Amino acid sequence: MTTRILLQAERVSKVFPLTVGLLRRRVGEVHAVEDVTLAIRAGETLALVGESGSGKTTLAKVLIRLLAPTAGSICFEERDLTRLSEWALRPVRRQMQIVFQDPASSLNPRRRVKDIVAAPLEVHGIGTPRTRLRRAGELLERVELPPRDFMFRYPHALSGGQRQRVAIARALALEPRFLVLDEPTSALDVSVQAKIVGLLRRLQRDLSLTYLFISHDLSLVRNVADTIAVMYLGKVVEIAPTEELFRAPGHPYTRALLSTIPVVDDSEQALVPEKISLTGEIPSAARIPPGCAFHPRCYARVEGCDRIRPDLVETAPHHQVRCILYDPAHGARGLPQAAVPEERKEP
Amino acid sequence: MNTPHPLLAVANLVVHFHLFEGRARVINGIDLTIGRGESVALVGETGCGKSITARAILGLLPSNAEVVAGRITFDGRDLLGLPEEEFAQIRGRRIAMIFQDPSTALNPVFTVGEQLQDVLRYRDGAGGDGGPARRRERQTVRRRCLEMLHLVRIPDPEGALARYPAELSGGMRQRVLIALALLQRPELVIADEIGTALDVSIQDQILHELRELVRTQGTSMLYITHNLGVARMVSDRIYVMYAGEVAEVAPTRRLFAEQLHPYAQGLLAAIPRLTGTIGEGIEGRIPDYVAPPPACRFEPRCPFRMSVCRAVRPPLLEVEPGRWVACHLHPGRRA
Repeated sequence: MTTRILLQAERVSKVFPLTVGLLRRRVGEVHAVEDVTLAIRAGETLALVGESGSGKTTLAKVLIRLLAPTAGSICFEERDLTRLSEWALRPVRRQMQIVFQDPASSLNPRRRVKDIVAAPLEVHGIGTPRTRLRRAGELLERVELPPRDFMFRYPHALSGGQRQRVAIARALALEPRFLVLDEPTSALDVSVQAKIVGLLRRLQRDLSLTYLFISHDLSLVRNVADTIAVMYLGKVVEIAPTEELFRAPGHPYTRALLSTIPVVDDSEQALVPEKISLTGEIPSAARIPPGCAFHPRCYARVEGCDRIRPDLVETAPHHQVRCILYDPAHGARGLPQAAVPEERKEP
Repeated sequence: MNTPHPLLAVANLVVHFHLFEGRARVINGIDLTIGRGESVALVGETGCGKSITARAILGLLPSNAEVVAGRITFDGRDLLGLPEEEFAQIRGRRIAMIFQDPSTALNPVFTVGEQLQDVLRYRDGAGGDGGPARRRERQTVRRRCLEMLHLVRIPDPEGALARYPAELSGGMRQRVLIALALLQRPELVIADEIGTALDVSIQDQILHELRELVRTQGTSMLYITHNLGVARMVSDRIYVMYAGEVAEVAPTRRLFAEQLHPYAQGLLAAIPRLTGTIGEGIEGRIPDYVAPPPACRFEPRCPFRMSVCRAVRPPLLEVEPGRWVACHLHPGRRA
């Protein structure tokens, strides 16, 4: 926990305008990411978890400046990315790469594996065709695909797991320090997922990589992340070291999310909080409820939740929760066990 | 297999596909039974043939598929030889299917109400042209639809009837699909990966509600999934499939306590656990169905393979009461 901070986001927001018609008349706003502050330490894995539409992918894209934030600052290696021009960003971009969810659609079906893997080198004008070919071979070796067998294949001749390995090899081509992994295994079977997770761990150790790992699978995140940030409607509602989050989830949403994890054995079942079934569904990011965005679904809401926008409050070292139940200004009562009303408990 | 008069019995089902590359031996002798009121999960990874098995039961195989051998009996009647008109009396009425993708399984140009009411009218045969009898019938149909939407916990069922699928969220669409399948009180419901397109909190709600509905209405269920955690939530018994064959059958609790087939072991070990462990995964990939391994189809990937595994196909044998395994490591009943 004392290692250097690689990336620091300070009050980052991303608002998309909602427009209609030819003249793009502005009719509203989508607050995809709101007021996110977080730090990623060098060599660690920070996981972003949350339901679809919670803004995980948008936040990741903003952090690596694939999208420009509408507010806030992002420091990567002590340089503020939000102040750099496109031109000045170019060398920084080499340091940060992304692996997408579905390898079937993120690989060009008309190019061979060697060309796909060497493409970033080509784009950045690095090396000659010969050295690039050699480098492609090394990269395939890194992701445990024998180059001799795979160099000249097309993506359609690969299995899902092999395709994701190729996508990882491509992301490594420019020797980045920071990798965004956007649901890298959710399109794969579990037996293949376990292989890819093993590979990602070895790569992190051998190449001193820092990961931002996006996932909706909490059991998976438990195994790969050092720190977990839980997102709900564009906001980070809780951030904590992995063990701490699972041991003492603070936010009512986190607790509900943990309680619905499908588990496969009894030792795990013991780690799942008492069942809390949320009612309703995540609202649209274009109509975020006032006050705490979670209050319409919250089983622990108190007077004021529909008016007061809670801030992130530190409840333990490195553990922050965005809920007024923890806010000293509102009594810091915490989430009582009895906050779960009888009728919402499972029998 | 362990019920004397099962509602559904699939025996030695063999399905081949005619492909450009040749004959793909996709389903290679499957045995499966579902008792009345029983919830059975069919679990396996992509391409193991679980959805093909469901389609075969419903008589909805694609045109290049051929049922080479086997029997499928439902309530004592052989489904495979059934003429299409008679099958139509069973499909959708006595055996219903809940489809996987709530965004494509509903017709976007009709309201939810029209789609639900259509199902009931089709059953009763669209009769008459107006008149009090017709009006009364419309009233009953509408009431039944509302009742069903209420059962699947759609808030404001009246309003939902008038909505188009695009106006509903993914979770609500999935609920409508469940209502659609249960509308005619089928005896068997086949659910293909439902909920996997949804977020965990919604998936959890829907699976619990479905389980509850199935229990209270005495319906049998065949639940197809690749997610063992989900199978654990919804089923009484689990069939683990690998490469078009049944590898292991066990009551749900016992399967999670101990897996006997090496594939089932590998599959469970690969699941990330909340205790902070994740297995190695399984080497290799599912075999080519045009030229599958000659005997045990898991042999090339099996950590315990022996010479007999390449020579003799392991039959599915009962090793403990209610527990069946197709593996040479477990030669028949222990007791």
